[in-house]
Amino acid sequence: MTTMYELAQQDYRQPKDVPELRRYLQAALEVEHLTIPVYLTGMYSIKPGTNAYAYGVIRSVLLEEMLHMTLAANLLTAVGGKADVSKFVRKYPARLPFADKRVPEVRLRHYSPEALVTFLDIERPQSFVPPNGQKPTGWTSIGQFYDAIRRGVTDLEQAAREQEPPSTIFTGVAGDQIGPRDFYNSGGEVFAVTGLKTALLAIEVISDQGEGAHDTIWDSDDKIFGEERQVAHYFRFNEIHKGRRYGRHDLPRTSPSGPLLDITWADAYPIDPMAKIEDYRDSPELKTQAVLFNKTYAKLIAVLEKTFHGRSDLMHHVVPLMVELRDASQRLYRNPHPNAAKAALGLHASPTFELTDLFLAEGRTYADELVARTEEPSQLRGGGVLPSWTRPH
Amino acid sequence: MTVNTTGSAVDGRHFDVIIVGSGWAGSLLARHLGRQNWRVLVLEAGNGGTDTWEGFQDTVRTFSAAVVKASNAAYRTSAAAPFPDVLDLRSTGPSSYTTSGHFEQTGPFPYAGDYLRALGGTGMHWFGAVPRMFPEDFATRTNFGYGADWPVTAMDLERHVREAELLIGTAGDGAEQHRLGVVADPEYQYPMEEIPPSYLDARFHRLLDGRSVTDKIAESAYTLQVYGLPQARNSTPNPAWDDGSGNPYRPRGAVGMPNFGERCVGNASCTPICPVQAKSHPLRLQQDFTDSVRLATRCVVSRVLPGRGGTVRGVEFREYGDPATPSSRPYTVEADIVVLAAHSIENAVLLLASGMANSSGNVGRHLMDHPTLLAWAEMPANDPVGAFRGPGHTSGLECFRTGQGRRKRAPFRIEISNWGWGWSTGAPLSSVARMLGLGGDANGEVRHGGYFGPKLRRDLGQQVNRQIQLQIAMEQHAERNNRVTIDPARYRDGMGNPRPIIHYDLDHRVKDGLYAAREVSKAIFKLLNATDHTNLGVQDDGSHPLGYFTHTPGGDLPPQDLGYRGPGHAAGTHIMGTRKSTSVVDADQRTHDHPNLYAVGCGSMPSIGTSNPTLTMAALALRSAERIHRDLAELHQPVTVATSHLAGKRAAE
Amino acid sequence: MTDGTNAGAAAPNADTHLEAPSAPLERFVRLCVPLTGFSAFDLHGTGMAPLYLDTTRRELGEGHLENFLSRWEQAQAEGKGPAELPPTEREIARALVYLWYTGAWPRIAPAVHAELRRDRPNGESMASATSYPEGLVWRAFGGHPGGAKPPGFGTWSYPPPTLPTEAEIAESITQSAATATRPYDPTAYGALANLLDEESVPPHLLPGACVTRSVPPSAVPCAAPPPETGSGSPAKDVSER
Repeated sequence: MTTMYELAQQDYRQPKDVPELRRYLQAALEVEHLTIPVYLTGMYSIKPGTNAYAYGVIRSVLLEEMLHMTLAANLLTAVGGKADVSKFVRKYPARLPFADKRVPEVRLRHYSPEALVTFLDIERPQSFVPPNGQKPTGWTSIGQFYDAIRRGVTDLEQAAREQEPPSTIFTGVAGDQIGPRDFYNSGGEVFAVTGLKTALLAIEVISDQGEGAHDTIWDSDDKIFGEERQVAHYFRFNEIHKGRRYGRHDLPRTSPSGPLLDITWADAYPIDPMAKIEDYRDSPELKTQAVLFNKTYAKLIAVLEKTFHGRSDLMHHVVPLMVELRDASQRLYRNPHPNAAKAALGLHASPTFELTDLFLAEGRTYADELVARTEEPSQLRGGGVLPSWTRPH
Repeated sequence: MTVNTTGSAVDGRHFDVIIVGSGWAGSLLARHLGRQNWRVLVLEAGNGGTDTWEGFQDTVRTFSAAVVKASNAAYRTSAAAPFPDVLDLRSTGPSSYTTSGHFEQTGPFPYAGDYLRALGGTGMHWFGAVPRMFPEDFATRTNFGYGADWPVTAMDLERHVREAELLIGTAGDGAEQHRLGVVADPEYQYPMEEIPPSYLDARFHRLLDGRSVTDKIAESAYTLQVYGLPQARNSTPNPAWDDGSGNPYRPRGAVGMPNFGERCVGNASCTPICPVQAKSHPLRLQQDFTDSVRLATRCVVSRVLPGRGGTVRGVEFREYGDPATPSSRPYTVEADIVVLAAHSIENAVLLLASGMANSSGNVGRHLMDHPTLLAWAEMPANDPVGAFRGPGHTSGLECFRTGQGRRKRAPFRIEISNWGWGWSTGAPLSSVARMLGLGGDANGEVRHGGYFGPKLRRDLGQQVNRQIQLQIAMEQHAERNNRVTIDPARYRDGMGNPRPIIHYDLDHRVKDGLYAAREVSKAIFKLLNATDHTNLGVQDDGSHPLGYFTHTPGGDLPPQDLGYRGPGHAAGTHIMGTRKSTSVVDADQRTHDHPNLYAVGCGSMPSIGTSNPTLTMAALALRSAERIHRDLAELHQPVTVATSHLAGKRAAE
Repeated sequence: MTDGTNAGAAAPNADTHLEAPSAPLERFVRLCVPLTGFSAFDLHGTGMAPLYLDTTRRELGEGHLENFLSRWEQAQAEGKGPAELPPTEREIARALVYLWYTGAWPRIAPAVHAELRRDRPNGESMASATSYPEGLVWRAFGGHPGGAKPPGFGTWSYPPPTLPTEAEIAESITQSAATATRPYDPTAYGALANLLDEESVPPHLLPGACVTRSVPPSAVPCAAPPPETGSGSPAKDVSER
């Protein structure tokens, strides 16, 4: 079972010791990962050349989730933990941990109003969630979860410093951190987590980008990164859902009242949100392609794991795999569903994002090969001249 | 949004500086002077909009929809501020051509490049190559007995070249460029690490480094060595780079879209357009404009206005609303200093139309480009290199650019193309048509043969991945008769402004260089074990490539088919010099004739060596910015009795 | 033509939203499989199938399109390959492949243009701004379209991907080309009997110099004239008996 569901079942409280903090951070990694296939599906099911604004917004949020996942991995590494991708969600629909019990399961949906409702469920700000009775015993939002981590990190580090002799919870190897060198283009820069200050900054980035800072609709990117102010995830999605931009004076609880957006829901490939590989048995070719997609997805996860485990130089292999997934998923969406009854409903095929032990094992073998290749430059057919940027550092 | 004023809003007003043109030179100047708090007006003739995400996406779609993806394919045409396009030229037989569009051409050979009138200028479609010039390039007359010397040396420009490399945002290997001989400091660091070389580059390294090629024209043997190309393209920030602030270099991404373009992702379409804007362009600098800088697009300057005592007063311009029609309104605006930064050819037209700065008779003269010979070949079946990947070229062969060979023939730089036979043959799209046998034979009848299905897919795939191409760019030195003129009585654009009339030719040095380049390409293909497919002469359908000619450098060298393409590195239309009788501007790009009129850009360059000229042009612009700042500061100094007494005394002496 | 005046227009939205895929579309795709060497999955995967059916209909006219499709269907039933089609059908087949491979309708042989009495100029035009990135030529060599589908930083440093062999491609398309009645025979697809083992493409099937940039890709000359026709010659055309 995944760490995040285990945690979500216990009472709402902050981690009491470093091993438990590591569990929380592993859960954070899982939470961030959970959202990625959901956004990928919403984005790549848009027909090319249409819904450009919505595509851009989903893309920007997706990239920020990747940033969050990487920062969560840096946090985990910094406190001496080791990320474990085998606990990632392996199939959809999946439950959103730490959320209000009324939030339905997260499904992979094509670009549609229903998909946007799912996105909004994922990104709902903490302050929008009604208080859970008098005694706050259960989790009600992901923001609350990060708040628990923040307080845990602060208190545990404080306690460590007060020991005699003073110590720290940040015992990870600094060189194992993923830095801006390897990660770019995505909702600000990844930075190394080396102490309390950077740890708190990382947590702030993760929770503010999602939910909006201090109850305004703006996140705090401009403060931290000096970037253009952009509306936080929830509000960016709400704009698409409502088909309007937020105006200058809109508040978190008001509906967007700005200019209309060019949203055309019909320009998407409708898919079956419950699709599984087995549904494709009528078409060997389509099934092969859908399986290939999942194997590539497993490779990506496995290479990411390596980057979390001190091989951040492998990050440049992640992008080509993402690109492969992009192209493969778009080909699937554009194909009619192979099941005649479903095709008659106008449904299309879709990647299922199912992970298995076997696929993960194959993915890890692939990642090991990549490591071996960087250590044996002569194996490159280019012939001995390996550009400096491919060398580990 | 960068554009923050309109023509009508500035009508009749006075600024400290007017800059005509918003390309690299104009943007660097405006940024610099704005930071010194001078009130600057930038007038851009072309359309804007690319500084917004939606506007930029329109250019990407325009590119996608274009049948021929030539250098202006991403940018919409304009009736109000027309510009030339390489598609304007037609080949009509051996050594004959016609042209339509913005240029009139009268020379035996066509000037085969183009430029862009739009916000950001030609800096929008440039490739992004920023090699430095060699120190010897600045004095070809002294060193090698041809061309014109610069009034400054590479050392004089060094500081500004560094600043330009930083502001443009350059990725490169400083140590390698030092070994090449263009960077003096062995410890020099570019802001970003080199753009990764292509797999093809690696094969060239492996197969060519240390091998020798004899150039019969230069009567010399050259040892080949592949060097990386410094590029204005986002790469990994260089941890060793240090500007003294302690901050790391942060690549600048797309304008109007956060988290985009912070690194090159290999779109392989640098020219005409980098869809993610990882390739640097002037709009980035425009984001830095201070509040004292105003920028208006759709304002076509038609004339520089004369002032008293040899000075200029300002400019007259016409503002249009719809680029599809030339209907427009005239306005004037005044300034203490006027800077023309409108592209070398447009600068020349503007000076000629205004009757200014031409006491030497040299305005418009000395037009130069880098005539480029294309040679293409096929790698062996067991050595596919994977064409059409990465930036257009990431490495080159540099040994033919320097040394005593320059006395015998034009020097040349060999670009190793990463885009297969794209430039030479239109591949890979033309590969599809030809392998299918599409389009009919000479009689219009359906062709025999041709491949389909698995055969087509397989053979096309493996053939394209074996395509290699060398792009060999000649230095063309300044010649008086290669020139831009105007004839307003006959050739005007829709708005009534004179169109450029171009007379262009290749002299024997350039032709000898092209001959040598063709010979060298054959030798290189042999070393690569590649099959030469170059055909610069008559084609299967009887047509001749534009720029075709046959030539022999003499002796017992047989004549051979040669040809060239124009990369559009137009330079030399208002060259700089120390003497008023032979040059148009001084070493700071101030016109000799008018103390407050500057003409900046590649037009000021007396020679361009074998380096893509933007970097050097940018350094010159920064140099001029300092001088203009000094001029303005002087102009604004309070006049006191003491200094005027001294001035009077000095004048009396 | 590069002014791209219609570039802002999105692709005609001809796809069948919430409708079953139409039979004519399925037939069109199925018939294009052996012509292109890409499976029905790949052809659908471009997202361009409805647009290309419309484009072809517009370029040829409904009658000529139907004639072509039924003759090609008939030829397949007889076990013939595309290279064995009569000249007019063969040229139309080439134009269709060019459309799938590049996203553009090409300039076709003037004789066929005249024979079909087409009501539009015989030039090359992009089907839509969204079709160019979906061209199959890029996939044929394991690349990506210039200016779209970028592969990521530094990927150009890697060796090129290994491409499927002709036999593997033939195998992959038989799944969707159910009408094929004989095993894959390269000569039915244009392979020259005396060059079957050649690694290189003969020069008359390669592009020559693009004499000016204004020449559209489909009008670029050949690198060499075709070999002389005669008995046993490689260019001998089985359909011209």
